[in-house]
Amino acid sequence: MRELTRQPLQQGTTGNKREASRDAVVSECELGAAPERVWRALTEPELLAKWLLPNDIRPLRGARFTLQGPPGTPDGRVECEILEAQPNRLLQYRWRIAADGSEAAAGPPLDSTVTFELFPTITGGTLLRVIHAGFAAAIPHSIASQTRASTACASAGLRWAA
Amino acid sequence: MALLRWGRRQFATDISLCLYKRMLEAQVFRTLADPTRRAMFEALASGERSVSELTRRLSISQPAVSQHLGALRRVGLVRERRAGRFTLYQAEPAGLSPLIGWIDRYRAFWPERLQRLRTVLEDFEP
Repeated sequence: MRELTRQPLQQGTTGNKREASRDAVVSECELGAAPERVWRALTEPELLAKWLLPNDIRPLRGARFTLQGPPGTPDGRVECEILEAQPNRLLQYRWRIAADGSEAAAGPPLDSTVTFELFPTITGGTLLRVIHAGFAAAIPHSIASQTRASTACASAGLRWAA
Repeated sequence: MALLRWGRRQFATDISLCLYKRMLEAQVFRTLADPTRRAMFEALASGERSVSELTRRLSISQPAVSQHLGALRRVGLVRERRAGRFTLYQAEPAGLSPLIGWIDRYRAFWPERLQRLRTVLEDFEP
C-alpha cells in the first residue's frame, strides 16, 4: 500500500505539474499490465466497476456517465463527463458530486476533475498516475497555503517502495 | 441481549454522526462555491469587519451582505461579536475542517482503489 501514496516523481520539473500537485490528490502506482490493458480497465464499464464503482462509462469526449457509489465511498453518486480521452495515454473526466435532493445538497454541485495518465515502463508495464484536482477551488486562498504546507509534510514521509 | 441492544444503538449513532459529517462537508463546500461568499470569507480572514465595511468592499447591497453572512455563519465559517452599536464579523478558519476532511477521504480513497485495480489486472486475461 505504501508505494501508492506519494507525490509525483517529477514534481516540480514543470510549472504545470507543480500547479497540479498543489491543488490535487495525486496517487501513482506501477502496474505489470501494458497500457492497452490498463486502458481497458479504465474505460470498459464491467472492468471499471470491479475496481472503482458501478458505472456506464463511454470513453468519448463529451460523453456523460455516472459512477454509482455505495455508502462508504466518499460521495455516493458522481456525475461525470469525459473531458479528454487519448487511448492508452490519457483519460480525464469531470467528477461532479450529484445533489442528493436533501436540503444540505441544495446549491451548486461540487466539481472536481480526475485525470489518469498512463506511461509505458521499460518492463512492459504501466506507470499509472491519478490526479484528482479542483479541491483548492473550494478552499479560500488565505487558508489554502496552510493546508498545502501541512499536506506536503504529511506526504513527505511516504516513499516510493517499488 | 442488553449488550446487543447497546451495540445496535451505538452503531446507529455512528451512522448518523457519519451522515452528519458528510452533510456538513457538503454544506461548507457549497457555501464557499459561491464567489461572493468566498470573497467575503477572504475579506474576513484578514480581520474583523462590520456589515457596512463589507458592503463597501464587495460593492454589493447591504441585504445581500447580510444574507451571505448568514449563510457563512450557519455552517460555522464566520463568527460574530457585538461591539457597542456594531456587530463585527470574522472568519472562523476551523470551519474549514470538514472540507479538509473531505480531501483526506480522497487521499485514502484513490490508493485503496488502485490496489483493487492491481488485483483486477492480475486476474484479467485479455
